[in-house]
Amino acid sequence: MDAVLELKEVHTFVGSFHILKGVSFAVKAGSLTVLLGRNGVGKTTTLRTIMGLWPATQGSIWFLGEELRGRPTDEIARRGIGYVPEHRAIFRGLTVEENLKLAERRRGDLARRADWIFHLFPDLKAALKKPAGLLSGGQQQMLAIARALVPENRLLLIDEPSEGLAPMLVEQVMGAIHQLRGEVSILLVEQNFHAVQHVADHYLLMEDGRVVRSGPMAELRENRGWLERYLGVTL
Amino acid sequence: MKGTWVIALVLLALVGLPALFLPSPVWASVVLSGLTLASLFFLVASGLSLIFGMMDVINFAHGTLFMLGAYIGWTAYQNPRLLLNVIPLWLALGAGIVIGQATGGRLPVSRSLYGLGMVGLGALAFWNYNLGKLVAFGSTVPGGSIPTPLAQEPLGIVFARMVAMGLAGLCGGWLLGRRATSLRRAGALSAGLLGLGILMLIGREPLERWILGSPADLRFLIALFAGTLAGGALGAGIEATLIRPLYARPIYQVLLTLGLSYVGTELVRVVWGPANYAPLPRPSLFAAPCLASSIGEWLSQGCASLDVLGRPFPTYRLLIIGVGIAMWAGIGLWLRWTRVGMAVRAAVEDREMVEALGIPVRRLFTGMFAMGSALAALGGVVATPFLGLSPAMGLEFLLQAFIAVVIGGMGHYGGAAAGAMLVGLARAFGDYLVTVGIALPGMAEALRFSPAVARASTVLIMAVVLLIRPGGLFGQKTSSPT
Repeated sequence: MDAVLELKEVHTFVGSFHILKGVSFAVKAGSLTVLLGRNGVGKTTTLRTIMGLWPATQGSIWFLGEELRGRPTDEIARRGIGYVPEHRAIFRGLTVEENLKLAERRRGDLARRADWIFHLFPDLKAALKKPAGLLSGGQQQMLAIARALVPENRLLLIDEPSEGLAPMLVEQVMGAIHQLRGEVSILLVEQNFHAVQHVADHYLLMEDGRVVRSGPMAELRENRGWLERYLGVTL
Repeated sequence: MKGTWVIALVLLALVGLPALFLPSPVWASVVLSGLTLASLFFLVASGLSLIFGMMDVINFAHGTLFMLGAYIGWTAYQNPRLLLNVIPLWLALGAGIVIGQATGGRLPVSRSLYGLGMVGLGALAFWNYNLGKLVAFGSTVPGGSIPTPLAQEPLGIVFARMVAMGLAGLCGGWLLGRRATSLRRAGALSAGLLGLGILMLIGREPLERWILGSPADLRFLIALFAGTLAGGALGAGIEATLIRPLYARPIYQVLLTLGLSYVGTELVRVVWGPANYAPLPRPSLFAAPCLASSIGEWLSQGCASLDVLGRPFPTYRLLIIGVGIAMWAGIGLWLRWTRVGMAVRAAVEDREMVEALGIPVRRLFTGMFAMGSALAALGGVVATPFLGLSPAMGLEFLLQAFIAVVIGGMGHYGGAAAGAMLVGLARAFGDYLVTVGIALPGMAEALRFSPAVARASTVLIMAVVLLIRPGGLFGQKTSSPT
């Protein structure tokens, strides 16, 4: 299978801090790849660099055969990348419907995909006219993901969807993400290994600004030593 | 919502308490005066607030745009020659900058050389420029004769000046650095600007005769249109060239916009002189020297004043109130129901996320800056038949609008309207207490305040509101972005 996204030796500075120190990896088309690592190794920075929010200073970022580096964020998004940032960055003052409408890239995007989106997230349908800020934490996370599904995206970048959610909600959100598999390629950032161990196809392990290991998920489940070393998790 | 309660209380105190002490006709006319001021404050405050909400730019030049709108509108009405001769030069500058930014790449020579080129060519463009001939106001007042074409420079010389300005703009564009616009779009834009300038110059004599020969009402409409358009264009130009490189450096922005406000004020002093001008003639609907006893009578006879509970009130001020309310409602509906308005509201909350959805936020910024500036300029033109013109009016309105924005909550559109209303009413009651005073029961003489109290009253309201709600009445944004 081809890669939808490929990073080659990407370096990013945030302020004067050298955060990404040569990140290289690929996300295969149609796969769900999870980017794991401890706090502060550069997972979020990787996603923001792909989106052009913190531009890379070196290296190259290929998406569907085109170089993204140096392009403005809105153009990167319009090429078909949906970004679901951490902390559920929905527009709290806008209604649920307005949040979804705003994500349209072509007229009628929402109408075309409404059935599918509300099948995945039935809660949202009932709350369409509510201000998004009044939703519960879990519903806000679902809205943030749903928003990325409105336009025709080829790749989703999802940053820590389980953060700050109760275990039951984590399961629900992960279940929805699992259902997206095959429809769209996904690069998922997580710290919570347990939440993603049965959801993802591939893993990437990050340490100190680099991707140090990658492979099929089963491999990671069998190497408990790596989990302990890179994530501090014991099974 | 808590903000609503506070505003209801403050409003009650402002409007209700005086109602207990003042006879109702006096009270009504003071409230109407307050709403007049509030309308003007709102036109400045709305742009100020939305620009801050979206871009975190506190535009200290916003009052200057109000003032420039007033001067340009006034000039379009009284002396279009000045605009017809000078605007093409600025259009050429803009066209040069657009081309420069689209073609510039790595600079082959040092930046300072481009800066020098820009200043030098700009100076050349205005070399030996006889402003006096253009600012022949005396002969162009209504009823006066239209000056002969001999009083202005021959077309050839003005075109040469245009070329110099265009080249100055080119240097400026290269200096500012490359922008990711396609060459075709930049070419079309600059050709449009140049074409407009050339048309204005070629048609300057017939245009001038046509404007000055038109009925006063049409001239007023032209003034409104010219002032608003010029304000919008100026705002877009300022954002695209000067503010855009500084989004990451807020302190520089403050210095820049503050500096621009001084430059604008001094420019006005140089071109139009330091003196104040008398108010522009009012349109005919508000000009006839009669006192209408009903709205119907006013509309049929075009009276200058209307009887409000037994006291005459200038009808033109009702127009100002109308413009304020229309703009408030219009922008409110636009924000609420259109896709662009939705994007603006979203960008006030989180502009990065709006960008990440694929919406070109930069274009939204330029548009918002242009719109805010156009609104302020519109306010300026509308104010001229009421207040006249003075180089100081920009700062005065900026200050009051800024207080209104802070009271309402920075970045909150409805808050700007509420703040403007509070400030306007406070000013009106303050002015009344200063000029007439208030007779309290049991006192021999009316209690009068010094003018300082009237001016301090708005700041006092701001202080009280901020004590109760540090973010302003409706504000969520209390600090600058991280």
